[in-house]
Amino acid sequence: MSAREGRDRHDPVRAMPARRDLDDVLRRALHAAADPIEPAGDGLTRIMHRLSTPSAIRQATLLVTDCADLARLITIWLEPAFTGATRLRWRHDAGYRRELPHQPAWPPMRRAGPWLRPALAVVGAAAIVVLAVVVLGPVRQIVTRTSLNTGPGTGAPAHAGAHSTSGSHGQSPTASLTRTSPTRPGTTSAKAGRTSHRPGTTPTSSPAVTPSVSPAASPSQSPGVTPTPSKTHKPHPSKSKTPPGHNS
Amino acid sequence: MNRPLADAALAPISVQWDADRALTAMYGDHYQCLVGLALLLVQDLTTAEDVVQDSFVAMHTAWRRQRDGDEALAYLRRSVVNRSRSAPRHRAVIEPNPSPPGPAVPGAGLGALPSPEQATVAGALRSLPARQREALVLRYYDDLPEAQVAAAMGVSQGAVRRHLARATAALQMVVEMDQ
Repeated sequence: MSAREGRDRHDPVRAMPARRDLDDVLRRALHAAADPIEPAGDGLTRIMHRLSTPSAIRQATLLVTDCADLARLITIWLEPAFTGATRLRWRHDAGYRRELPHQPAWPPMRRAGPWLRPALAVVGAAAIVVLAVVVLGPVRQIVTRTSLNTGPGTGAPAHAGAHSTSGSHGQSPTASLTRTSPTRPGTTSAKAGRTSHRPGTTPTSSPAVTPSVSPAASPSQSPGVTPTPSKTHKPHPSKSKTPPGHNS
Repeated sequence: MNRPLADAALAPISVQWDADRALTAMYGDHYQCLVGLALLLVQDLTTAEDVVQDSFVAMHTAWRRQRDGDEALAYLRRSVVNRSRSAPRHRAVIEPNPSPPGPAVPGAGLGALPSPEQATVAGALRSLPARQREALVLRYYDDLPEAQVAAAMGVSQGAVRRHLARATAALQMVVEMDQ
């Protein structure tokens, strides 16, 4: 219970208009702040550009960037430890040389300087990062492909949309999708098999719907085409098949 | 073009839509409002635009999971709120010592407000905790009911009520002190 609500209870007659005033002031202030803004006009172009970049490349770039940042952070974190270890080592070496004055000098490798070990550590870290990128990139790609191919939704629209946006910005979805449909023959034939059994699907609507919507969505959306010319999207029992955790 | 999200009438969603057309239509209807929402949350127009564009990309990718335009809009709004929450964290990592913000550009952001009272409210809004600010912006800028505010923030309606009550109490105090 807040102080504000407490005040409202004590003096509701006075508090309600005050509350309404505050609401109005808030609304006006927020709209006055945000409404005059003019976003850059190339927003859609930038979105389409981001979409046209293949996701594997995008993810690989992100992975490389993240790994580079991580390597830099690790180097920064471990720098004091390296410095301390190097100092200890040099102290130990100096004591050792004092105890054994006739001992020959250390080989050149050991006298290379205090920078050698941090440098080696950095090189090692970089090698690990490169190895991780080389190994994890294809593995991740394979996993993504497997999940896309095996799942009922198969992610076809996002993939098809991503590629169709690159070159055919103003084209109709039918044109862009007829181009993409041969790339997934198994999926398309399965969908075609399903749609051909549906009695209400007209030949004009199914080519546009079938490639664009994933196989999981096509049975739920196609029946809505023919009987409802008003194009409103009706709920359908088969929508309960949608994975429950679809919220971001 | 410049209308609150709740008031923007969604065009009838055809089943023949694919992700591209949906994205284009939703961009035309809601892009500016979403940028306004993000701007109020992150206080920076460039970041706000990036956040909204990323949200549109995410919506496009997840289009097969959206049932209709309403759901896609809710997805977009939730995505904008989430990304606006993480954008300052990301900015703090890549830019540990940010340069102080420049002078307010007229007509952009919370720096240019017509009345002193609104400027006071805007200043107080900036000082609110992030969750309270999100609740306030979604409630009073987008004119969303509490249930949709809760859905966009990913919290319960009770939590939204709590955030709103605390935020309005803080703002009320600031306004009264200013008067």
